[in-house]
Amino acid sequence: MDPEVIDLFPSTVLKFKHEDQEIFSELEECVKAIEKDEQVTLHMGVSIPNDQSWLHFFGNYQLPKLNKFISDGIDTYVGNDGWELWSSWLNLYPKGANQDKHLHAGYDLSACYYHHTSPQQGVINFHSPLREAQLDCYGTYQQMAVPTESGTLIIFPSWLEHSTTPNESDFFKISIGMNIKVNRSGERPFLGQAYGKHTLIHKYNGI
Amino acid sequence: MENQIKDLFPTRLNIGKHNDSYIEDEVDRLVNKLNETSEISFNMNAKHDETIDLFSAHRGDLLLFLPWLESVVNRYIGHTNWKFTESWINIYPTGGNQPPHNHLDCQVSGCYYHKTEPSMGPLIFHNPHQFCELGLFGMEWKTFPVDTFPNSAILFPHWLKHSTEPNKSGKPKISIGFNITIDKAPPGGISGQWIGPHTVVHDKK
Repeated sequence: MDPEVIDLFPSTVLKFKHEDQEIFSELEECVKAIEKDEQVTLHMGVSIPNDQSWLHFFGNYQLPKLNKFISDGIDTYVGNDGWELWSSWLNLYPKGANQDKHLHAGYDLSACYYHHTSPQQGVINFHSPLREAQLDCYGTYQQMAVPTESGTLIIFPSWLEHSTTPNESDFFKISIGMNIKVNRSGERPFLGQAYGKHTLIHKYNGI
Repeated sequence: MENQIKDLFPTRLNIGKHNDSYIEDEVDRLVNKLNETSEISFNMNAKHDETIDLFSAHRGDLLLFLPWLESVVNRYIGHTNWKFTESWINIYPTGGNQPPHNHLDCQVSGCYYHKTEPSMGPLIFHNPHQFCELGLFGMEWKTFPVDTFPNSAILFPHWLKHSTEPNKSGKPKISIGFNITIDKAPPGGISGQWIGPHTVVHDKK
């Protein structure tokens, strides 16, 4: 008889993919406009304003079809909860560039949309949130790679550490990073017996 | 729009069940035998030997049970290169329970449930995530209760904390706990250039 398998406490990552040429064209033209209008030099020496205004990519550029694709994906992830896009930015990885392990503090969900990408441009690696994984304890994995294909959106909890492998192609790897805050719906009551509106009695629960 | 869900880094449990009344009778006879010979007593003052090895001491009493349990373990681990290192009978009198704990010096732990009832309480697993107490989005589950059905064995990684709720029935809750070590080479090894058997050069990566 086959055993029942229960996979407890996972870190849920959702991946959405489209093949809509209009979405690709929309972003392609946007990237060209950025190069032309803002004179972004597309090299690593560009200076970044410190007022965080550069983190509002979707506020500064109109990409209605891409916006809808991403919004639908986030809607699916959060379910009945509401959400707000707090920051978004364009990532450009020249040949050889990658990102070291990091997380996005202060947010609930983070996401990355991949424009035209090829397998040579690397993968995104998610790192286990379990301390036991660092000790290679039984049943743990230290990291898991998710391929980054053209037209994919990857949504993950902001606390989940991730990194990228180097872009080994001669072309820029282009993606859009995002941070999201979730407005959780539904009641999340305290555990205990409420006494009036401001007092909670914590009884011994036997554990 | 194509959609894929990837549940990364889960902690996997397996639950094996049997419907063999002969196995049930076998375990029943062993429990009664141990009770009658005073090797265990149904009170909380019993002592155990330094070696907790029920399965070796009573292999002859568990001729049907042990092969079944070994097949369940084989399915969980994926091969047969392992051994039971500790095994014991748990008795929870009415009101008895265990606080959160894990098992040391092994890789896999498990528990077989004998004649349990729902009022005897579930086995509760505790979220191992280091930030679990912060209540972050996507990490709402602090614990997960798994029902302990009769004639079933639950297997889990040894490091996963678990606890039990008080036995609310009027009968003792009886289960068999066990720890397993897996024979395997250490993963990965040390990367670098070896000079002889005892020196490794860590070159620039």
